[in-house]
Amino acid sequence: MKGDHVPDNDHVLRYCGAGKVGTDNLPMPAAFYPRSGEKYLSVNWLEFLDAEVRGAAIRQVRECFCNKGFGIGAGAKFVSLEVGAIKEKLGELPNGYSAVTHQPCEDDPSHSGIFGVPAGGAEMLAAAAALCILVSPRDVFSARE
Amino acid sequence: MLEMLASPPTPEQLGVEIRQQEPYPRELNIFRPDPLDSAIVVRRYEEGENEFFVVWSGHALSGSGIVAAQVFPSAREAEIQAIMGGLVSIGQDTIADRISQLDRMMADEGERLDTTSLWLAADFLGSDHGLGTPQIGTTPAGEMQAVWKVPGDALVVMDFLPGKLVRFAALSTGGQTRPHPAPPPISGVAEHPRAMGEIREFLARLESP
Repeated sequence: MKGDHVPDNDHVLRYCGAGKVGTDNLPMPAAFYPRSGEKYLSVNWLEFLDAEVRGAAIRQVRECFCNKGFGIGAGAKFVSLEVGAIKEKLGELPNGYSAVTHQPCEDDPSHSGIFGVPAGGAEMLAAAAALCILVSPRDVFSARE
Repeated sequence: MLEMLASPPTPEQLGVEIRQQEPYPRELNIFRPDPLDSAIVVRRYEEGENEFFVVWSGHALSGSGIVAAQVFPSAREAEIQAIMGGLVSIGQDTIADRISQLDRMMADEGERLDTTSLWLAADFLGSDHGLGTPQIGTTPAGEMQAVWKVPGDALVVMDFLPGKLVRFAALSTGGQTRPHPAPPPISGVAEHPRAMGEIREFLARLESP
């Protein structure tokens, strides 16, 4: 339900546009910047999709993107992050606060949000870089099938 | 179209009028110290109601003592080609190729590379900054982002902003066991000489407290 906290042991999936993925196939900090006007970082709650294997859950997220008319660029990636690790990392920053809550919408039931990444300035970069170092190659998936 | 000329022609020779219009002429000083080699200049020309842009390159680019020129119908194309040409001429082909790739990928996703940010990034990346070759990407606002994974488990990031500022951060990735705690992360917005000073201090503290 909207506003429910996503459990720390669960995972969220972040879309990283092709220009925000390095040639090493890992996301750059820019992949974790909020867009103008966004109150949180948009992600998808994987375990909410109740798929038996991660690949099936990711396919469902991909379908939601397509159904919403959101174009998936060639070279774009999905990145999986553990909620507890996100909160711990953002909590280490000065004035660190973070929450990951369910923010479903009609055509995207697993949609969720990472709160606590500042909207601009050096603080935004510091938070995004902190999230970036949580990612290892096994957490990265092709966004296009 | 590439015209090999002994020196840049005057506007009268070209039969066109040159009117200064911000931000043109625009110079990229990649080479040092000979000013004759240094400039890659983008100039704007008007011919009647048409405007076009010419990239003038010093002899270090053409390698033959002849000033080279390329003509483009759009400012954006001229600037991107000027920057890529400058980077290639100093052996930064990988970065030049990546810029070309980013321009295409951003267009594919409905975003646009900010050429002001690109000029700043190229000016810095073409200098002897000592951080090695970065990963290059873009922010949602189209600004250039450079990321260095520095040996010794540090991550350094710079976003190239308008007003010749960089948004920067440096932090330990925690990937290396140390006898002492890593220094706290740093971040800020400043002109790049000051940003580099803070980054170098952080890296020095990371190696020895």
